[in-house]
Amino acid sequence: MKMSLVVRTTTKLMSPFLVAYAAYLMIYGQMSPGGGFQAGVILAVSVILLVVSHGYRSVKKRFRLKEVGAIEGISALGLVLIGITGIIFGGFFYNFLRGYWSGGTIPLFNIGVGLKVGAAFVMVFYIMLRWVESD
Amino acid sequence: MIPLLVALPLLFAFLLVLVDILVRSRRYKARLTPALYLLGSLLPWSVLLASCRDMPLDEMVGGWTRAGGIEVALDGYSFYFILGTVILFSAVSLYTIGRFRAGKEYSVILLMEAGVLGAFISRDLFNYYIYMEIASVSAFVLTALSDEKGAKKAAFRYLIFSLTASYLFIFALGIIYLKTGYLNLELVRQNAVPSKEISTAVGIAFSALLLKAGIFPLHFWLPDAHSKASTPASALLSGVVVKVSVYGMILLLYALPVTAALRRALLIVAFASIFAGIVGALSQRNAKRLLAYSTVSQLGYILLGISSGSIYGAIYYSFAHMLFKGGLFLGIGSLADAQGTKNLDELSYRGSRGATATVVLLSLALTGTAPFVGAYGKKLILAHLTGIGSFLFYTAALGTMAYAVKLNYHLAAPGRRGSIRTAVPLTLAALTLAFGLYLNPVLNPMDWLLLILALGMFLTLRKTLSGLKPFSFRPAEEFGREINMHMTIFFLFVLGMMLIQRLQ
Amino acid sequence: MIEAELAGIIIMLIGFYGLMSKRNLIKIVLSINIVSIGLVLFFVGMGYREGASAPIMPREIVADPLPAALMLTTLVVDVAITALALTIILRMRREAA
Repeated sequence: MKMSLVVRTTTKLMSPFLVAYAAYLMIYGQMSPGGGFQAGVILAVSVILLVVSHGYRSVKKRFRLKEVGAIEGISALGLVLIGITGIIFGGFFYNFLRGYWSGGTIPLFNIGVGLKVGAAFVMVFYIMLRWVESD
Repeated sequence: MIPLLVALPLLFAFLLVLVDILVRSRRYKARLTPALYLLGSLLPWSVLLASCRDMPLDEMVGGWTRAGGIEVALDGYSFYFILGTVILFSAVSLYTIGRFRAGKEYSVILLMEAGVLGAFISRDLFNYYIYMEIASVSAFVLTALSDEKGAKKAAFRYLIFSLTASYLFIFALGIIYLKTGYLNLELVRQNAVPSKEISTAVGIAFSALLLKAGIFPLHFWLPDAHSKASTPASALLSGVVVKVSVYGMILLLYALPVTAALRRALLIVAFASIFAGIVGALSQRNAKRLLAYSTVSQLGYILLGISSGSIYGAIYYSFAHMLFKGGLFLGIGSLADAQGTKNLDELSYRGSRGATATVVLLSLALTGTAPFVGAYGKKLILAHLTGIGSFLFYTAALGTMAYAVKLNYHLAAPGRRGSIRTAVPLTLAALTLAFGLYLNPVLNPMDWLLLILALGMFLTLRKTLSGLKPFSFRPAEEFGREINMHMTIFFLFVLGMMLIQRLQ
Repeated sequence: MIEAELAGIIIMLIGFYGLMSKRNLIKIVLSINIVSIGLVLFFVGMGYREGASAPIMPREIVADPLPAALMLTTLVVDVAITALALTIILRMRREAA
């Protein structure tokens, strides 16, 4: 399931920029339009574009299903742990880093949500493609 | 402190997924997975026991103000829901240990626990919706994971109707937000003024929650989904997940002005649901479908409590239903799994004393007989009914006893044999008796009189009943067409609920 | 000009029409997605204010940020359930085959 050379080259060129844009949205999410979810979707799109143009088989060699699942699990775990750490300082999800840098725990949440959403979307795509291809 | 009730199962659900991916050695995995699963489902007990002494508790997540934050609470409204949920999830987790192949199923059950507990503690309408949706998504997954034929179809139907109802519910929340400016329960209560828009929103929200609870004209997804899921999954679906929408109705009733016309309509729907469930249960030949129709009927009782103004009756009866229906599904489900059939004529609990005790005790609890847990809720609901209402209530009690007698009559006959473990359902049966004695330690001779009457009625009408065809409503043969038809019924119901409030 | 809220409700009704009349399962899932899009438009239109700026570092008039935030959450649920529904359809096809 490969597309033409033009499409493959263009998507290869686009993907790194999409990742950079996703990183920008994650890190500056608390003071500009954007945030974790949008960043995660763009992160996922950078991989999904490659899947669409190069085919599932060649992409999964680089981005393995297990690694994607591990990123998803670890970032989800991190989100819950940040929430629980807040209890020590006064309440669940309390912003205990407020005053140290802009936004306190919010950038951490944005990064966690971004990774989690991106990994989850890629995983959904992988699992459905795996079924379609095995039919 | 209260949000930990949600955070702990969530944490262990994600840990289970990670263990499944990262731990290579099969031996460690087989040891770690059940341990983490048990920890995740039992740890909410510690939070509940630590905080139940200083109830009512009220907390803003993250220390924000009430207008800007999300409020959670543990008080008279939510305590019995949470207690029942934690009891049933502990029972199911002890029951399921070692029965699933991968860690995925375990983590879905933990996600469901997090979703249900999150919905029960929330005092913010949108937050409630989100957690209800987490619980429902895990419910779809658990239904679809069952190996039985037709389980996928049942899961798809459940998913489509539940999702449509959720969107209507959020639409109603949007109208409420537009009119009051808040989604926090207390602030909505202070700012809501009776108006056309608010009553429309309440009508839509109630019909969406009625669908999610599986009340009679909107119950079409429930018997399939609850009877085709695996044994622990159907105990959770019937015991806990439908109660989430009951809690939502209680929240709506607390916060918003509900017109008298809507209350009357809900009362009629409640009685319709009770009797339709009884007719459905009496005509079934499949043990799990009988229990599923019984859920339709029992949720009618809970709605009766809500619509007649006896909120605490509804809460206590929901708690009772969690215990005995969860126990019945676990007990009869494990019997069905061991004997390889669900047909009432072939199933039998003769070979096992534990199974006999379980099913007999839980059937008594199901009928609401006095020293058992259901009796207290029924007493509170009955106190709010007058005239024809209380007459219908006793008739319904007679019908409930009739199908409970039917269940035991068929199971007591000789049939297949198979060894089963009944420790967990038997514990639940003992708990229904213990909580019944704690809440309401009286004997009501009326119950036993009705029970004898129901026994006599069943024995005389037994021949006619066994000739009945299993009751099921299929408007069309094709699956897609059937969904269209049911969807039309649902939208007509929503329209009716909106328009009935204009009649005075 | 038609208001965004009203347009959202009309799109929702189009989705309901699809749910009541289309028998193809994938079309039913798509109809539900149309309902969700109408809902998002309804909510986002609710938060809109004439001439308002984005609610970051507040100036004089800002748009209401809450409806947009709520819709983000609803979209997540929508995506998850759509994926699940399509997966169940795939499984059903395989079971039937």
